[in-house]
Amino acid sequence: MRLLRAIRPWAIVFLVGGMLSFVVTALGSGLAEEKAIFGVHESSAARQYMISLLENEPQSLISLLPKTDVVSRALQFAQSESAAGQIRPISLTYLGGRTSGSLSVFMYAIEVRADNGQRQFFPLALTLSGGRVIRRE
Amino acid sequence: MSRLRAALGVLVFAAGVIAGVLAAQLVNPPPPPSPWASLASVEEPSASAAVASMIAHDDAQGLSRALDSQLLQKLAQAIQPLVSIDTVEFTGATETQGDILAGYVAGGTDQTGNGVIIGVVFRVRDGKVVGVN
Repeated sequence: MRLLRAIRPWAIVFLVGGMLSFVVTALGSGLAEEKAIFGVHESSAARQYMISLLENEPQSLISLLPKTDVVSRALQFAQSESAAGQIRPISLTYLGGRTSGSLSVFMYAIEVRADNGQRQFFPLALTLSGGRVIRRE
Repeated sequence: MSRLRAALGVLVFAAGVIAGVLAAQLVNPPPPPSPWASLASVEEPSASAAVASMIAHDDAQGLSRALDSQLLQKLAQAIQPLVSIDTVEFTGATETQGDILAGYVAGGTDQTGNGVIIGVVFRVRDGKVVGVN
């Protein structure tokens, strides 16, 4: 009991420091992203979506999309099944992005080799809201 | 004794600050590593920079001269749902085998007046914009 009483003020100081820096870091990094002060860092959700797309992982893709009905999810599985093994990714390059309010845009350049050996180089722009991909162009 | 307490207080506070920063990093994890190579970035192509500037300056006449009607149609699709564009910012570009892909983010408002941002990527070949996504 005496030990607890002795530790208490130090624990409070530690917690205050921790909470203060947590809030400042979270707000500061959010503001820096919005103003693109250091460029916009690629989000883990966007990168995961790209990897799942190129590796043809429908389950992972669905988890990064807004909640949809069972038929739309079934369609996603069917599309993935029919596309399996049709392309071989060569490179994935992040082209940057921006954040504005709840919306974030991340762009990629994708280089793949198709089944017939043809090389394709094309872009993809993802719009994310709340960690989910709401638009893919 | 009081000096020691003060120094210890500062130390404990600093430890808390470090723990808070680490916790904030854990909440926002870095993206998973990509299994594929990444191409080198290149400078903004002047052709796409000119088109982006025309969009930002609402220069419809200039755009009609810079892009053919097929590209204009693709651009119209790419900027939906924006009806008023305030900013067009270059985000990055990369190149392979003579094809440059240059990314831009356009910001503005949609028909209902809501603020929207969208991504537009121009394909530049031989100094000309040949594609829009």
